[in-house]
Amino acid sequence: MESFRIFIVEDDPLYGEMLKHHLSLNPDNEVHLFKTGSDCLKNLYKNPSLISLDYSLPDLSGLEVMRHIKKESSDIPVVIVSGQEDISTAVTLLREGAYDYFVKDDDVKDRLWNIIKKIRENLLLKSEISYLKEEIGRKYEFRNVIKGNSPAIKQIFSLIEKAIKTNITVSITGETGTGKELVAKAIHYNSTRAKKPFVAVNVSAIPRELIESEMFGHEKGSFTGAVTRKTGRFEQAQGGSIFLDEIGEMDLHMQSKLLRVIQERELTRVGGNDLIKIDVRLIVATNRNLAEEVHKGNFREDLYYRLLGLPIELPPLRFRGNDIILLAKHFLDEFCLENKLPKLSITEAAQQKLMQYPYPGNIRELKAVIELSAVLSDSEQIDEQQISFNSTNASSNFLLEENTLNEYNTKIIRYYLDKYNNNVILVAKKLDIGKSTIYRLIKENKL
Amino acid sequence: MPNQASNQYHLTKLYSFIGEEPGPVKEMVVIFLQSSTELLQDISTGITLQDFEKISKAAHKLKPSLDIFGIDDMYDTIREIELNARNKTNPDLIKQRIDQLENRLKPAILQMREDYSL
Repeated sequence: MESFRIFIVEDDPLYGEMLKHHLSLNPDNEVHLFKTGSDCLKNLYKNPSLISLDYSLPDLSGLEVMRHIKKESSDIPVVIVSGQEDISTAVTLLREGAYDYFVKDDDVKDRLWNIIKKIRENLLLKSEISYLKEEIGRKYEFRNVIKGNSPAIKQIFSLIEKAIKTNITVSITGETGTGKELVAKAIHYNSTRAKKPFVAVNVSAIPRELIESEMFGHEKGSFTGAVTRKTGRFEQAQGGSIFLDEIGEMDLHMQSKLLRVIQERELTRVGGNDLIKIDVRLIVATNRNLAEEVHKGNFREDLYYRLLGLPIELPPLRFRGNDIILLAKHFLDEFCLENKLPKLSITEAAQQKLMQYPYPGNIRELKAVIELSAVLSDSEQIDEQQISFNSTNASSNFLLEENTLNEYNTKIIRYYLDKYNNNVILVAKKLDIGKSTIYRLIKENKL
Repeated sequence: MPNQASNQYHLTKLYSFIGEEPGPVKEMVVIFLQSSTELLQDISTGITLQDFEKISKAAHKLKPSLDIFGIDDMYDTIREIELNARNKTNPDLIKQRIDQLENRLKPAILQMREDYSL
């Protein structure tokens, strides 16, 4: 942490020097002594962390100096040190923004010391917060987070780049598990709003009767159970971005309220009368086809157009070719690192198997498959036996095998013969083909 | 080590502020001698010229220094000077208190000069 710069503004040379000496005992403090208010004001560009200001100065009053300081930089804490106890002056100064007020007595040095300690802790916390925000920004540097080289994902990168340059509303669509929230975060943390909050709301997870108060807040006593005032998600996201996931699940009543907030850029808490201005970037996501929902009357057309903004349609993993292997290796490395396992590799056969599966659960499913394979592996490699797909709606990877039509025919007949105990007549009937076709394949040893 | 047996002053509060290292202590003594002499002079000129504001300001500035150098028995006296001068009341009392202050402070200053060879 850089040194803590303290300005002492004191025309009493003894008191000034004593304070300077005392505060300089901590080598982290850089203490500057000024004998007049104007000297202090001329040096404000040095950006002090604290100003100890004598109330009675030869050129300006403590109040005048403090007002100038606050005008220049309202963040600098100003402690007033006065030769006498005067409650009304103290109250005025504290109201005008003084950090503290105390009389020149035996406790001055300890009180100053304590204040410095408190302010330093505060600054440390602020710098930690700022560091963490930058870290989050780095973490969500979108090319680090969204992995892939496929043309489909490169198209997404180009759209994200466009989205981060403006405040345009972004609507993200894509199958479950394609990384909609990740894209929303990448847009927020790479935009000019990065240091302001990112608030994610899963619309489908909030009960219908609570959603308005959750989104816009409520006043105390506005309904049974509203025992305190509560700020809503929109207010929490002030200056930043709000991510409304599963927007397609929002009911029509709430849709009209949301539309008004988006149009007017202001909201009223439930049970309240005050209009609250909001400055929030909107990012929405859904795995439904909203245009279709509009057609069916489930989604307001005017809201649909308001939300459409810049549409980003995330490709399903099965359309991302070699990204599957790239992502698989990334998840594997990540899992091994987190669980302190030796680094594992994926055999060619396992890679083939990974490439042939359609991933209805997309990236989320691939991650689960890889993590399970890492746990099952007994060697330094993951082979095809350890890759197992347990998708709830896993369609066969039949078509992904890309066989010839003859090969497919043979496979289908073999499947039926197995199923019906090699009853050729029954299988021929089921498949509506001649018995001779089956016998020919058997004769040719193809079955 | 300076001789403080005369009880004209004591440095307990100064030590608590800046420690007991002789170098910085002597520096503070020098500053005190210079500023208190100047302030006493201001008070004196103020009474001659009947410039009560000058008196009040000088007394206000001198007050914490006296406390730091253990001349705290003069606290009420200097407070009376400051308040009466600020309100421009009791000029005779002010004069009387200034005499008391000078009679107390001058020997202390002399003692300090001797103790620190200044």
